[in-house]
Amino acid sequence: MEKLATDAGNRWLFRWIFHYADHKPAKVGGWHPAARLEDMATVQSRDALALVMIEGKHFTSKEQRYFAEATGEDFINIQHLAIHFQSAGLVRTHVYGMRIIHRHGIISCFENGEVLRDDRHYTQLNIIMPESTRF
Amino acid sequence: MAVVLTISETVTGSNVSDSLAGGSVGLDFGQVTNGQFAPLISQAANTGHQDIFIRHDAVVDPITDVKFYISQFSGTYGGANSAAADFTTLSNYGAADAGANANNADGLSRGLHIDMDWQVSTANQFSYSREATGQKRIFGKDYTGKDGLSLANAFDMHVDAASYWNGSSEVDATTPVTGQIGKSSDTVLGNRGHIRARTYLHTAAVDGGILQFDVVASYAYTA
Repeated sequence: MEKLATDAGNRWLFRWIFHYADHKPAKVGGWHPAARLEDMATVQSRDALALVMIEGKHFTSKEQRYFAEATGEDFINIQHLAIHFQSAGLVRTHVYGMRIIHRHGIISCFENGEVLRDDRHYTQLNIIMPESTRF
Repeated sequence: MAVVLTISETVTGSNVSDSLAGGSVGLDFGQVTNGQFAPLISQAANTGHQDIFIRHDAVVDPITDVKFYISQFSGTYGGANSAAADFTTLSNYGAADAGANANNADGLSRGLHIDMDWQVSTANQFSYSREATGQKRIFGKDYTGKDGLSLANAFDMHVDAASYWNGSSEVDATTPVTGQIGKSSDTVLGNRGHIRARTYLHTAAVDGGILQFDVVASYAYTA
């Protein structure tokens, strides 16, 4: 696993964005896991899907920026990363990141700003740096 | 949709809810005596363990990347020292485990052990030979870089932990996959993980009192 960027000390929320090649409006997920099936990434159209992106929003400053992108071709799925624990008698689920599953690899974005790529193909899974500098 | 786990002591039970020292609820392993393990029925017969079942409410896909690690107790601490010290103690126990017998006959086993094979025989459960297969893990012990002490170094749920509850009995998942738990109707991956756990204490242990810690389950689910 290759570490691509770290923005330690921060906390980010993530959402997914689907961009289409045929000028259809982009589909955008919420900052928290969808409450309805029809709002989930997995049920959105894959026809002419050009680009899948993960966008982050800083928990306190509300700054928004893109963290990762992958080609729509060979895109498999988006996943939330979560932990389950009990604290003070309450069962809690904490979502700590989001990742793109792609035929050519996996790129994961973590709440601390860290991005990891299970690297198999550079040109189809990209980390997007703050100034849009790309690897 | 958000996917929530249920971690229970019985196959269809609610979340663990034992009353813990300090006022929190969780899972109480009971008291362990030097040179033994808990829960204990018969040391000679290698019997006694804590069942832990993991299931979820996903409706679209299985959950993947199911892993376990321990961390500092996050509830209201009621142990003998401090949450931080207890985590260090338990971690060190795992790192120093030198046992060779599942039943701690040599008095050298220590720490939190799990056996991720829900059908393991009484004779074989928690056997050290099962570390090589990934079925047994000791939190704090190093397995080629994975020690179960952090999210990054968590232990994968073994395929042999996957079972399927058909409404009346627990049966084997037909084609389980490491770290995956299927939806409620999934006979192939199974619809729960079922692991066994024990706490061990070596004969020479000197610290007494209640030890408290978190066992954290991590997983990924479809967005």
